[in-house]
Amino acid sequence: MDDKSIVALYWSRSETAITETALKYGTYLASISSNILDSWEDAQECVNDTYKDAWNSMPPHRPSVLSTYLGKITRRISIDRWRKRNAEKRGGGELPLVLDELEDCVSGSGSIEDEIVRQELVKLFNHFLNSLPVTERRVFLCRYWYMDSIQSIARQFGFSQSKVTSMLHRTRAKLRVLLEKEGY
Amino acid sequence: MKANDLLCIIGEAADEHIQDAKNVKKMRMPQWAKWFSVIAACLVLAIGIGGFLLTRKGGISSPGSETGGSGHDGGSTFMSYAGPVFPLTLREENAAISARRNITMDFAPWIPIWISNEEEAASRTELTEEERQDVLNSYNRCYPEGGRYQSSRNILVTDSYTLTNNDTQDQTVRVLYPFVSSLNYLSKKRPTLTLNGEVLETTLHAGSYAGGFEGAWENWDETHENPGSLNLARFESWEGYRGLLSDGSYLQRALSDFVDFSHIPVTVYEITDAWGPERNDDAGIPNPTIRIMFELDFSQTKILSYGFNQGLYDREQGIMGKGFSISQPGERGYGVPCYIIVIGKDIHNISYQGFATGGWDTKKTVETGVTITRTESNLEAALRLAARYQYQDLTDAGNYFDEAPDYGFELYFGLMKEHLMAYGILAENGAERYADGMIENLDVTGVDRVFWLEAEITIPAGKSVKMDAVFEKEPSFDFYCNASENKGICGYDLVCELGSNLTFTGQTAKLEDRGQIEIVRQNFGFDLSRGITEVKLTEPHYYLEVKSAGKD
Repeated sequence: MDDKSIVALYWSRSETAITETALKYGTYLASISSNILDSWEDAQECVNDTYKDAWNSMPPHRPSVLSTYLGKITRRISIDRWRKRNAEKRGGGELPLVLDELEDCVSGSGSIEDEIVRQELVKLFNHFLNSLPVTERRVFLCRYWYMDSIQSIARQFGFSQSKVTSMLHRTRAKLRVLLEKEGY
Repeated sequence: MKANDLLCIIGEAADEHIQDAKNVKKMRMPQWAKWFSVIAACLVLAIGIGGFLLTRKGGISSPGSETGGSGHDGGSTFMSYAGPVFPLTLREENAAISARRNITMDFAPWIPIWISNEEEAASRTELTEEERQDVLNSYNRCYPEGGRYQSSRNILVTDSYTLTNNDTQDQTVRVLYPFVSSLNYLSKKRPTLTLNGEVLETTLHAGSYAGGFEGAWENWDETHENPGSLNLARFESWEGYRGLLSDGSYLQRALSDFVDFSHIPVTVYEITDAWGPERNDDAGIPNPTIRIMFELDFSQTKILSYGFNQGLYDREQGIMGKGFSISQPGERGYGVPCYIIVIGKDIHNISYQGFATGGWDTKKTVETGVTITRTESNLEAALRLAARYQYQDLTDAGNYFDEAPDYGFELYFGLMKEHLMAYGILAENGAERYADGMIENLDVTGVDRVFWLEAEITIPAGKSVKMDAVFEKEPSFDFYCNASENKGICGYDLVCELGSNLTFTGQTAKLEDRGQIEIVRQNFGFDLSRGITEVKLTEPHYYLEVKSAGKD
């Protein structure tokens, strides 16, 4: 079923929307979540929560790209779940490594709490993504959006793991320079 | 700014970049593709369509489609129904063999287990020692207590059979153990069969789609009817499987050969060498696309296609259009041909044009090019060619768990043909869901079906053997957005004799609750407070619905 029809099912409050979403995107969403949580069962729960959020948010939302709309929800829920588990010393997955790597890019002082500042930062980040060569951008997002392991990225792109690692290092360095320049 | 903030900002990356990041495919043309291209180009067969009805025919009116909302004799009707545990059967009925069944439902996977940082790091065997130490350091920073806990909502099922040969001759029989899964989850759900503790070598058989179709809930409020076949209607209770398995025909179809389409002549249009401008938002070319347009007589021609993601179907004018986004080097789909497979009278006045976007209302054209090669072939060869690409796509990028499909191409291809014949454009009364003829849209890997593992065993005269099927069974559950009464409740069920030709001398069920559960609803007769954890089974169907003992 195409995305437009699935969104229409949400808007018509048909439970079939959930079934169709699960059929088309269940595996994709579970992969996002299990990368973050390293637990198939927890990932399934987060995917269920994604369906709940999708159900509650459509309407009013009518996303143009359903996969990424759902993917963003799953990613957010899974990170929240990871944080909770981490507080209980039950974290796991790629996220600790990802956070460790992202420390390279940030000052480490102060948090972004102002919504306007956050929105500006989102714009800046998307400009940064636009400025990257295509492959570098893809590798960066596979690692820091999808939280794929280095091994998995190397397999997907046909690169050696060391090439992926050095490419990510280079991209993080560029991002750090940009963020410093813009005062973050 | 902290790393956590940056993580959230990255989460807001633009949709097109998020999509594009996974739009990667190895560019090497597989060897088989070249070989099959040659075969497809050489095959010219012209035979009638009569052989359609030979094997594994299903369809919307088949027993498998008597489903959905058909009532339920006990327990909840879950939104996500995992299917019951089925009993063992024999490929050929054998009066000399009797069986005693003892099934254990073990909640051990619910117990939180400690994963130490050391173990976690040591499992990363792909890393160098130095990288592994880095990983360990990271985990140690995050879990300073040295590790973390992990648990599951699956249960461990041990379905044990004592098979007794009551004859004076040794009996060699082929056993069949059924289970519910889709191709996508086969590797997680496939049981392990053992005979007297030794793992058995098994052959996999797959049944057709276990479910039916329903409409899109248009006018539901007024009519309370949902006609149509746009959506899948999956089984909601064991009764769907009862309709499927009770007369043995579903199993017989699963054991028979797949249909062969070699006798159906087709004309194949292969679209290769697509080129066009690069994507450029600033220049107003966000998605350079090629549309192939052609004329046909809808009453005499059926079209299957592969590689297209847009379609135009104008029956009145006798015009069809198929479009696809031009892949760039390194993207998924780059270098893979598109196919238009014509069954019946050939199409004519085929042409193409490039456009700036994929929308059919787009008027802005761009300079593009393709090579269109026409060959005459047969449906088996043409479909196999497209299915190979689709299967390769599943192997390369379609399985997001980095696990290559473990069921093999031939099973995948056979089930695709079966689905196409039962519900697609080759069916007498096909589902609206597949009316566009796009091969990728056939729900081959995602739908549930009943599989059987087949193994040969010998039972000596007058003796017994012990056969076990061991597997993790996922729960049935409700999505949280509805039916809040079932929030946090997991359901598991089993059937005692459905689909089995064995003579059972007795069946029992044992519950290993591990202190993890509170029973909410059941018909087994377990009573944890009184220590009753083993019961005799005499009903056709049993259900157990539980929640975590530690949760509301």
